Amino acid sequence: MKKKNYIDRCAYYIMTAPGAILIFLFGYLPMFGIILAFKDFKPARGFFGSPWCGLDNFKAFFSSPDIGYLTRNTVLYNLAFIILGTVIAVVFAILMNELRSKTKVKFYQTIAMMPHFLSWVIVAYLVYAFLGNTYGIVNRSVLPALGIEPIKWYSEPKYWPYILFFVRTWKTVGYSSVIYFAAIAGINPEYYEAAIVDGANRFQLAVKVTLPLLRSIICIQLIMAMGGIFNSDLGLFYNVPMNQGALYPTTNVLTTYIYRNVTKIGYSTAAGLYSSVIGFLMVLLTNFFIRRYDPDSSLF
Amino acid sequence: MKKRILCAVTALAAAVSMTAGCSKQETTAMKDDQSQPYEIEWYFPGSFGADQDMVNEKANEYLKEKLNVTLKLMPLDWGVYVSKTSNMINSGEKMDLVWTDISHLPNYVNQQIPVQIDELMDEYAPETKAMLGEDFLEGAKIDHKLYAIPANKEKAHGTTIVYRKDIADKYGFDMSKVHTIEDMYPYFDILKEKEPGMVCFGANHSGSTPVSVTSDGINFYNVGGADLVMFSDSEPDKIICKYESESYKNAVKNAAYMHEKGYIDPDVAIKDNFSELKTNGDVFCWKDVYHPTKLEELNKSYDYELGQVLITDITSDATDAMGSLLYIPYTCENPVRVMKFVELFNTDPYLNNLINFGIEGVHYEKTGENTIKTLDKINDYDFVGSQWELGNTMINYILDGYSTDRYEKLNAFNDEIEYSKYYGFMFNMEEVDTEVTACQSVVSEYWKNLDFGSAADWETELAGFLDKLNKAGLEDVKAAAQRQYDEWKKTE
Repeated sequence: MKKKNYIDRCAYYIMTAPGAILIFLFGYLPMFGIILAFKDFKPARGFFGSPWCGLDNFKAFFSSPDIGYLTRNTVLYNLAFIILGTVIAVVFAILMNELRSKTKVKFYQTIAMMPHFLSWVIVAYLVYAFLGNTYGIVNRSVLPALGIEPIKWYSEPKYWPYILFFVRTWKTVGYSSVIYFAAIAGINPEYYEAAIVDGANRFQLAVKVTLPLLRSIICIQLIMAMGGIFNSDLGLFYNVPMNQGALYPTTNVLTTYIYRNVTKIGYSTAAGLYSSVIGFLMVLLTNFFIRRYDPDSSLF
Repeated sequence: MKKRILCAVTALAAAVSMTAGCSKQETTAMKDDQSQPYEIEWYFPGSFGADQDMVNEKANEYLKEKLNVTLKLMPLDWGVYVSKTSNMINSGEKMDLVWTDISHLPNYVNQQIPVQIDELMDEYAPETKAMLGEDFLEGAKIDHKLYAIPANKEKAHGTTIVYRKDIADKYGFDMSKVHTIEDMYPYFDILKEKEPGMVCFGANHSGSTPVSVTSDGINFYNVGGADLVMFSDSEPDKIICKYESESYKNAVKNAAYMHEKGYIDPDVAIKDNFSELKTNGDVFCWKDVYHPTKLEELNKSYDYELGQVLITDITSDATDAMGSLLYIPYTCENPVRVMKFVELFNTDPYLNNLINFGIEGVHYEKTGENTIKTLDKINDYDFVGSQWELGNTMINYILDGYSTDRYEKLNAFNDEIEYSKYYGFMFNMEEVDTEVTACQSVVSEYWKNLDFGSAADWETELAGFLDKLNKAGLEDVKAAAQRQYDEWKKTE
């Protein structure tokens, strides 16, 4: 009986194999690299031959004056992206669902999806076309028309949290709303029919029927996203501010910091391990809270 | 995320190759059996063009017979050169001869990447050694040990402003009266009015900045301190930080002035389009590093005529000895043969010019014993202007348009050099690694706003910069450098 089960499921195993193998190759095998965080890595002496240095790499990393603002930037940006990003994606999906015409849905979705396929380098230059000091559209046409002095966008860190949030939302909202849109499409129409019979208007349908039924999927997405709370999109934080030192206070995050120090293998591995451990803890924590308040939506 | 994966993969690759790496290190005896063929992979920045394989093949025919060597030229794009070579070396890939310079060699030496070559050079490259001279080689040593072979070229430097002579003549600028950048401001004002499309001073991200051309006559001496610590004329034997000096303050003030006046491209801090400006002829002047044959080389590259004004003294420090280096990394399986190859490349005009300029009759033709004229096909093998990367430049053929006595001029210039008293001292930053990293991160945050004068208020910006540097541990870096220098001086 058991054996038959395995054979039945054979097709599924084959289907998951490529993904599982990739995760094993790129997710599990490289984990041994973690020991580099505890070593004073000398390439000539090799992986095992390099001397151990205890927690020196971590000491160096945590005594860096940058650690405070790096952690703050990373966490705040990611919280904003996770929370507001989810809200915007869900709202977008619901709005799409409200459209009656199939053609219009396709049209808006394609438009919103388009930026997802642009590389961050191109996005960076698009942003530059708007914000350049002399030739940027904003400084050349928009601000003068409003009677405001031109702003040196690339030397003023204070504007960048908004710029980065806007750019990221613009680039990702189409893609991230797809999963919610699909979930909405899967909702049994009988719920809506019943609600309409009870006299619910369209707004109430969205809030009272659609949202509660989306809860599980939102929770799962949230748990997954929490694991990445210490990871940031290198393309967004490195390319979009054009790697401007003056913008570090608001655009430098752990990922870009590690990237900029990548030649120091031990040091950057320590920084990477730090962010992975925090990410892991965040997954456990989020899952714990969700399981506590809504056991059905938790991941494990 | 991608970077992390890359890191991890590199680490894995290192793990896989480690056993090989370890054992290799010990068996690298100073022996070489020339009956065994060996392939030399030579890495340097730049590119040749479509005919690279053809020239490489031709070189191999020659090298097979001379040294039983096959050469593999591995030019890499400038933009990725450092990251690519250091990733390769970290993962233990085979490389035999690798180009680097002062900004990376000391760090590599701390990581035990280059092979020490004092004995190798004595034994297998005596002519190269004689050509460079013991005195000069002192400057390329780290802790009295030689790890890389400097290119044979000019051995001192100064700061010069290169300007478009045709434009200067057109408006009657008297450049003989110019001794500092400030002397040029009246001319800049005229240019701004008469040539609105032209940038007065061409700033870029690789050295030409308003700060770099503002000089008050005080010379600084690089001792490998990542630009954080150095010596200056103002206080002999005392390690200083350039950023804290009066000279730097004045220069920053001047940069802010130049930015405000619109003498430089206001967007240069964000986007460096200097080479585009130069090609289009939309820039009047820029900063360059002086040496006696610089101007004719520059004139060869552009359609317009250039002139230059030297604005500093000519000095020699570690940047000259370590401006262009070739090292043999630990992954090389036969350092002896590589050293023999270096010797041959530096002394054999045929091989040297083959790799530098291509094949005679295809890419260039001879116009005299040592003079050549490039042919149209040179576009398929274009390395002109990058000769300084590849060792001895003094046996390169002289291109059409260059003065035929250029090597006499260069040698005369080199013979006159007085090495500074700090020459030969190299600061080992390993003990203050953390502080240096923190300081460098502060520098990368501030330098563009200060050097290009784009800060809203330079005084608060500079104060903030110095404050952060001190918090990052600049004093410790200075103290370490000072202590090392004092010790070094005792042994001299």
